Amino acid sequence: MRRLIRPYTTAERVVYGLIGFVVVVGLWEAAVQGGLMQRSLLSTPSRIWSVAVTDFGTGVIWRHIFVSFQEFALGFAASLVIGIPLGLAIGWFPRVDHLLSALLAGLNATPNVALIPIIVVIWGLGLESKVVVVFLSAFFAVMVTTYTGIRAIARRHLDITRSFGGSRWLAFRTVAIPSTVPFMISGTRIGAGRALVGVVSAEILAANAGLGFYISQTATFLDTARAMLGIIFFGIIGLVIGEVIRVLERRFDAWRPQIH
Amino acid sequence: MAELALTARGVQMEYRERHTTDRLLAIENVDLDVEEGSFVSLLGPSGCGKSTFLKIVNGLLLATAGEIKVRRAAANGPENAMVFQDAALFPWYSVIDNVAYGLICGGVPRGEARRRAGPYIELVGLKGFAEKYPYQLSGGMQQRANLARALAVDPPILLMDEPFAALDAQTRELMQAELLRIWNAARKTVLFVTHQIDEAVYLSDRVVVMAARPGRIIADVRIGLPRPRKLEVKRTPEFAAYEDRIWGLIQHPRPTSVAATTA
Repeated sequence: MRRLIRPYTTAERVVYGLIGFVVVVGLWEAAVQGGLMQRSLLSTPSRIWSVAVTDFGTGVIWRHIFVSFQEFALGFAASLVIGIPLGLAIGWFPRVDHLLSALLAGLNATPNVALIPIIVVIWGLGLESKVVVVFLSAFFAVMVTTYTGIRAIARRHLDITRSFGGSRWLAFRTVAIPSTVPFMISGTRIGAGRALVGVVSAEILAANAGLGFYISQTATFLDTARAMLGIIFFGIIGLVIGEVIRVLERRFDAWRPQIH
Repeated sequence: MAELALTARGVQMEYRERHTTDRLLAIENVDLDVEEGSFVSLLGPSGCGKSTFLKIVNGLLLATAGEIKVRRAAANGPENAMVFQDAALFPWYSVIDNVAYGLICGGVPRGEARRRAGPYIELVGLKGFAEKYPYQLSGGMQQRANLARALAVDPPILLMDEPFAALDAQTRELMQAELLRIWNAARKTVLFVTHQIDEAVYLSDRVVVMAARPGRIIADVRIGLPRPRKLEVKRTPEFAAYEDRIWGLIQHPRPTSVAATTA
């Protein structure tokens, strides 16, 4: 009898994932222990684990995590609160588009990192300057993606409202916003990644706290285990954010057929 | 003679092409009378302007010349409602919200609109599917919902723009029969656009034949088949004779040829 192709179960996927993880971490440990790479330049998983236990024990790292999280949350939230409505407005009202698009395109074309020194001059080394950097990093992705969503609304859907005599405001609420939701979520996803990059760059360049600061400080003193710990933590944060957005996506997208 | 539900005189639609001074005459001088309660089809090849004419009647397009007069039933109700081609439901709304949408466009509050949508969902045979989303429905069921949305606003004239064109052959036949049943129950004037001769003959009291370049009416054929019509009527010689006659009109659009083919 022919075997049917069956989807992998969650348990199987978890097992495979763990195997992959263990193999890579094991090879890394073995490579350094076996002298393939210099211990002082690249730490080992076991060493990173032991500094993690120490720093979480003393609570040193918690403060940095909290600072980074705060910068991320405030800057990213602001980028959503301003970016989504502005993207909708620019997409929907041609006048707003003409008014702002050239200005915003120019600002968007400027690499954000170039703005950091100025931002630090204006807002200092603390929380405010980081929030501004994070905001700017995420804002354009959120806004432009939302805008693209409005431009991509199906003509035939807009015709339905017009055909039945509905107002343009009704079309905005009942057609423009729902059909743009997938784009808003994409924008949120891209923006979250950019925001995280913003946190790291700003903290590495000019800060007195935060995980990025922790990485650059420890690396300066060749404490590669702690630097790697900070990097790994950023990776974990990135994964958590991605997962949160996936949950969000499912919540708002009930009307889409489930593919997986 | 019955009262006229719709009168069109000298309707013309001219498009100016982009970047050139060329003009495209999509519809030239269309005169059409539609009697109250009748089922009239506009039949013709792609590009003959039949859908354009329907959109002008609906108000989605503004004609460049001519006038259309519609007898309004209710003082504040809509003049007409459109049943669109395929994929015209909002994928983010359930069936009942889609059917209620026309009413909402007319200013009816959402709760009341949903309540009034219920009977129309039943009329088109979608009972039990009110809370389903469009992707969960077959093509035929989607078009039933599309039809219910238009019926729910209780328009004096129902405009249908090739509503069954995207359906498979069997479903299309069933939907044609269903449409006649619903039309019989709802008693609406219908203006139906199609490019299928058998569909037009089966459904209509009159088949208005159009030709392209420029879009114009070339014939108006009264279909005398008795009602109610079952699908079996399509296999009678009378039906075939109507099909042949209309096919001849389409092949030889000039009036002289018409006389030759119908003789």
